[in-house]
Amino acid sequence: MTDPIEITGLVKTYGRTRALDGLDLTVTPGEVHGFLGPNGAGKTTTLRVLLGLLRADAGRVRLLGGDPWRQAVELHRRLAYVPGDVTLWPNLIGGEVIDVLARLRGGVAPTRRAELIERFALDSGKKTRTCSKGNRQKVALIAAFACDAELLLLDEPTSGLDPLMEAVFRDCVAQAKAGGRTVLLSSHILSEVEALCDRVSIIRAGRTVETGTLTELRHLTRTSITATLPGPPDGLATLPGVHQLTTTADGRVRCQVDSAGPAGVLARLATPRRPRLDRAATHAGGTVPASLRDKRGGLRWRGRAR
Amino acid sequence: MAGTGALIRLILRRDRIWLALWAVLIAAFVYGTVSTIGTLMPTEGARREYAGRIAANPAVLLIQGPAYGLSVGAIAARQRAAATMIFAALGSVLFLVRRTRSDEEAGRRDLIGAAPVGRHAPLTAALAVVLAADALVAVLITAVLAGAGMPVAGSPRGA
Repeated sequence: MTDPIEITGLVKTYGRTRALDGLDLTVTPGEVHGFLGPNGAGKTTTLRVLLGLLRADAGRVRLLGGDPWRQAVELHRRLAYVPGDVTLWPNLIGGEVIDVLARLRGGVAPTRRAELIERFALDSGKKTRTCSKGNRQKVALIAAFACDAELLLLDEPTSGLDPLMEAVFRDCVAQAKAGGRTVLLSSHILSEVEALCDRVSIIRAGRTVETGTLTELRHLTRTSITATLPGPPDGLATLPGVHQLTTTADGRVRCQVDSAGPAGVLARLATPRRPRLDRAATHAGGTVPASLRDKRGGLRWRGRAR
Repeated sequence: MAGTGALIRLILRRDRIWLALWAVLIAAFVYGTVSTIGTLMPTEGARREYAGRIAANPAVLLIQGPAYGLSVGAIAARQRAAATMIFAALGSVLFLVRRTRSDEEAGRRDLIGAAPVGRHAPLTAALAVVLAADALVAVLITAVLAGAGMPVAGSPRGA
C-alpha cells in the first residue's frame, strides 16, 4: 500500500516570499500524523497544495497515490477536509450545509449524520450567519467525519471549540483511526497532538525540521529556567545539560536545560541561599502550562518536564 | 465539471428569492412604461407630438435616441429599452461576481474546492444560473408586453 501523503522538496513561492522551501512530509497508512509549526510556517499552504487548490512550484507531491492537481476530483472523493476558519453560506442552516457538502460527495448515511450532530451537540436548525465560530467549525467537522473518506485533512480543526467539544473531536479522530483511516492533523495545540498523534512533523519557515514519533522527539525538549538569586550561581555552567546560561546584574539567571537535567539544576539553585523561583517558561518560549503550576501559581517541578 | 448540478442547486437555494424579485421587478418596470404611455398618449396624434418634441431636444435625443415609430410599443421601447437592458446586465454581473469571486474571497470556495468538484464547476454553475435567470427575464417581459396588448408579430424588429 502506498503512503497516503508523500511530499518531497515541495516549494511554493508567492512573489518574493518563499512560503514552502523544500518541505518533506510522509504520512503512512492508518496513522494520525501531527503537523506542527508556528503561525505562517506553511501548514495551510501545504494542505492547499495537497488539495489541488494551489499549484506547487517545485517538488514531488503524491496524494493517495495520485497527482493532487490533475486528479483533484477523483482524489477528493476519497478525502475530507476541515479548514481552520470555516466560512459557510450565511443564509443556510447548519443541517443544510452538512447536506450540501454531503451531496457533493454523493451523500452520507443519515444515521451517521444524526449521530454526529448529537455528539457535537449542534443546533442544526440555526442559520449559519448566527452561528459562533465554534459552531461553524462543528458543522465542517460533522460533514467531514460523516463521510467515509480514507484520508482526513484537518487544518487546526479545533480552533474555537470548547473543551467538551474538543474531547468529542478527539474521540472522533480515535474512531477514525480505529476504522483504518489516515489523519493529517495540523495544529499548534501541543496537548492535542500529544494525545492523538502517532507521528509528528514539525515545520518552520516552509521546511521540515523534525519528523518522528513523540518519544523520538522528546529528547529535543529543553526546559528553560529563569531564577532570581541573591548572589551569583556557583558551578551552574559546569552541570551536564545546561545551555545558554546568562546572568544579569540584578541577579537574574537564565538557562536552558535538557529534558533529563532540571532536577539537578534546581537542586543546585536551591542549595546555597534558598532562591526564589518566580518565573519559568517552556523551551518554546510560551507560558507555563497549568499542569506545571502549584496552587499559588508557582512551579511544580515534580511533574514531567515539557 | 463534476458537481455542477449540486452547485446549481446550492445557488438556487441561496438566491431564489433575490433572483425572482429581480426578474419580476424588471418585468414590472417594462409593464409600467407601456401602460403609462398607453394612458398618457392614447392617440397616434399625441404620440406624434411627443416624438416631435423629443426630436427637438438634443439632450434627450442623445440619451434615448429618436423615435422609430409611433405605436405605443415603439415609443415605450425608445424610452425604456436601454434602461431595461442595463438593469438586466447589472443584475447579471453583480450576481455572477457574488457567486464566484465573493465566495472565493470569503473562503467558502475552499470547502467546495476540497470536495469532489471540478475546478470550473463553480463558474459553470453560476453562469448557468445567470443565463437561466436572463432567459426568465426575457420570457417575463415578452409575456408582460403581450399581456399589455402589444402585437407579438414583428416585435423582433423592435416595432
